[in-house]
Amino acid sequence: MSDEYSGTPSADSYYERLGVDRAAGDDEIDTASKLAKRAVHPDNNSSEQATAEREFDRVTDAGDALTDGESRAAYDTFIEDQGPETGTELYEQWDADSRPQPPTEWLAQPRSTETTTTTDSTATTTDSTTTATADSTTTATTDSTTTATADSATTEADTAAPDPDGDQPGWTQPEEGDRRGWSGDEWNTRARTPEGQTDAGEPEGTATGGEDGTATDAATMGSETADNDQRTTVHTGETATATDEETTVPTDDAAAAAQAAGDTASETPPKRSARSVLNRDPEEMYSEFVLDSDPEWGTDSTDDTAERAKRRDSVAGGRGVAAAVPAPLARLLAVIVASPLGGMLTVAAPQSRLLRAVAAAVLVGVGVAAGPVAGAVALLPLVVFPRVGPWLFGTLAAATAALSGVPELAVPASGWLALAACAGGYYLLVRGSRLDPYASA
Amino acid sequence: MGEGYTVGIDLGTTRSAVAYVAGGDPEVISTGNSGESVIPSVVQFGEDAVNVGQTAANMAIQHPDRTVTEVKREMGGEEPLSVAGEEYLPEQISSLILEHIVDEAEASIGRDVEGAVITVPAYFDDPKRTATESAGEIAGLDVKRLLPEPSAACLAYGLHEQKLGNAEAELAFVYDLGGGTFDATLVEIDYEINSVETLHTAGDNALGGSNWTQRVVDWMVDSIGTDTGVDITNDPEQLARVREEAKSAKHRLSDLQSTEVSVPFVVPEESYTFSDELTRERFEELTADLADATTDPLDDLFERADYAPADVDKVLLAGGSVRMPHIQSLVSDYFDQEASMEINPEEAVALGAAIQAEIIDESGADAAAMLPGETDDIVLIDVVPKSLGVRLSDGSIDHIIEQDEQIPTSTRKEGYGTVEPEQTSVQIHVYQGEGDTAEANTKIGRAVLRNIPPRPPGEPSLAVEFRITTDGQLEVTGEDLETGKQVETTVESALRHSPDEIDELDEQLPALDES
Repeated sequence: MSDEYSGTPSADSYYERLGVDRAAGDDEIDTASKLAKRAVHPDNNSSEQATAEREFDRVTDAGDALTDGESRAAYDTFIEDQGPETGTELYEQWDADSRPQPPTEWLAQPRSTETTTTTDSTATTTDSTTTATADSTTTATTDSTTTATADSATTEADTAAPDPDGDQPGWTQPEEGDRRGWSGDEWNTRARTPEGQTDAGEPEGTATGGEDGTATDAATMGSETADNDQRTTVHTGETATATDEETTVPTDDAAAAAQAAGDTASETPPKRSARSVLNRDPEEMYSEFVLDSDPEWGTDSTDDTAERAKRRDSVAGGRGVAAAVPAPLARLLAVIVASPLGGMLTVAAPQSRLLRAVAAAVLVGVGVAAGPVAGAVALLPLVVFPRVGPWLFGTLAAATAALSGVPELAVPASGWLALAACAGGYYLLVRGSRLDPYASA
Repeated sequence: MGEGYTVGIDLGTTRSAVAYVAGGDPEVISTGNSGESVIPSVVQFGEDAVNVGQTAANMAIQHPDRTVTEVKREMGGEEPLSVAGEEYLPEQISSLILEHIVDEAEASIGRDVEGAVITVPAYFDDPKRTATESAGEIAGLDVKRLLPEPSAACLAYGLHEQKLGNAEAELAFVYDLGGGTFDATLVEIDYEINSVETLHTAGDNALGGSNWTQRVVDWMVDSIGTDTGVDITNDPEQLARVREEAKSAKHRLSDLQSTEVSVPFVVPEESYTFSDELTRERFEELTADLADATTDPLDDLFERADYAPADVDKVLLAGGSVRMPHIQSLVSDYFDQEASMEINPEEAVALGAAIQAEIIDESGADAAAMLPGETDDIVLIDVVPKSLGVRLSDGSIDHIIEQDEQIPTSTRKEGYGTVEPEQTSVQIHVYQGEGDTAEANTKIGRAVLRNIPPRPPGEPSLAVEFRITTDGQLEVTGEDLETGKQVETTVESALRHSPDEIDELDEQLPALDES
């Protein structure tokens, strides 16, 4: 028996991956599988780690299938029926589906083999859930996409309902009455939903400006059947504060909005509103295959980041000071946060106390050497460094007061105190935001 | 490769050991003045410095409130432990043990230690492994790999066997009962091609020798209570003395049929001295359910495996607690064959870790020298201990990587969708475990796919790929099937520390006593 690995990990056929003959005996395959794993294991390969890992994974797949008698027989059926390329792909699909039926029966089922075989991306659409087994049998005659989605719907009504357009997931067509819950403007600020659901005839309603539109999105996300009063608040208020108000209104809808808006601010698991635009519980509809997610909202416009940052600020500010910040200031702050400089600000201060002390010593030197005005101006930018400002200026004021006269410090204690106040004020502004250096991660 | 050495560290619940490979032979480093090969995993926070190891264990009885034992059981927890008026994370305390071990190793080898292979129970889940890796980083080590303890024992055993010239393939079972954890692992060893493949693993992260000790403690506390009416569980100092005696009685009973258990003046106000006879039979009665509990993971494992207990060629015992005779007979009965004690259960894990360190080492020269034949490659393959999956919006878990997959591995799953229209990011909550609902499993963290184009809600147009690298790290990639856009993301959790945080956690720690 040869003790060299002679397979090709990138091959389609499991036999080629292990470097054995189709007719090879079990012992031979066993040894070949071990040799292959040893040879391609990343520990024994100087080639790129990710490549080696992928190759190892392919070899293990092959080894797992061929060293087990039953799996090997099944695999043989697949490749005899479909050839090595498609056969392997289908085998993996069948295996991932927890092997619902014997391979011959499974292969005999009509499925959109064209899509399955031609492109990689759609090949495993039916993989959506491992629990698909039972359902996929009953809906096996429909196209694979539909099957996947129909599996996920937990009510029989969904599968039984007529499908308006064959390719769309199996939810029912929304009824007129349900859709009234939406106002037109909101509808239009959202992404186009599938043809069957978009109603071109919906009135445009009160078109809102770009920023307000986003705010609306933010505030009403999840609040599908939001009543009009609620929405009015959103439209009239200042963007930042409006969102904030929303979050504090103790209704289901507002809570849902807060959930979504507070993506990063709140760690609590989402409790979405049970009602949806379709007057259906989306959780129920999509539960089986929809990732549990707290969406981050917004359009792809350039204000997007700023808007989001602002919203974060206001949400966090609900318990802090930022909520009281007037809108123009909040907007300016948001711009700062969004700018590349914003990222730098958060990391500007050295972690080490020694480095901080050295920095402070240097700055005192500047204060001594430079004139009062020049010194203060030189240090002014440091006000906006939340990790530096508050402690630096306070210390300098204390130092100046304590050491008054020896040596003559150019900037007086009151000057430092003013800077300290600025820095403190700035810190209060950023408190709770991404710039807050003391916020827990 | 740097100048420094890479050692193998067995970071145990109650005791640790360190080994390295010198000139083709793995060797456990003896430490301290007494030349012991095991180091008690005890950390004692003194007035101005921290003691670890035997010194700390000796002082533990006087200062129970300043002493941390069995920190391994707390690993993976996010809550800090409060000791000596300060709060420390479990990984910080573990790092002190590692630092001490490395100091000892450096003193013994006479060279710098830079990296380490640290062993973990095979059944440790991702948060516990992450915490262990952080502990190594806080201690300033380059953690090359986290190696499952049973695999390490197999490597040590395999090498030992091979040197004896036993060139056959074997199906080995490792029964590893340590101080605080229990692992059961089924391994296929092929000596001809130097391959050690883990097939299945099961275990209990909260079952170990200290549970046996606790039973003896309970027995002693009960009879002290009956005799004097005093409940000493409220007196940490006396309780520490009782525990010490219980532990030593447990060890004595491994060799003796009966032993005298005594704690002088355990209730000082009544001048009461506890003294009683403990027979092995009585001890086994007290702990019968614990021993039985170790067979549950075994049953579970063989239910999953293609093999039956009778197919096992060799049963290896590892971990200090297998010295208890009733454990040995329980294992022998289960497999209907004598369980092997050929390898020193206390040292095998550290030795295996040292061998693995050599295998990983790029030069690999010593790895080849370890083997008798001309073959130069040797491979150890581990498995994923528990399935990894994502939480779906109905709270259920969808497993992506299944239990017992050999690593490295990757699995891609399609058919995920979003909940809301205009959704441009998706949070993937990653869980590990076999429970049906997400909450019944261990939460590992979350990964966020950002900047995905909005899509109609519920459209199954997202794919998620989980990848476990050779180092056991989980990587998550999301893909938008419509545009083919891929989003790489990392799993965020409170246990994954950035380099800055590692430095900060290190700075918070008091210095080790260097004397």
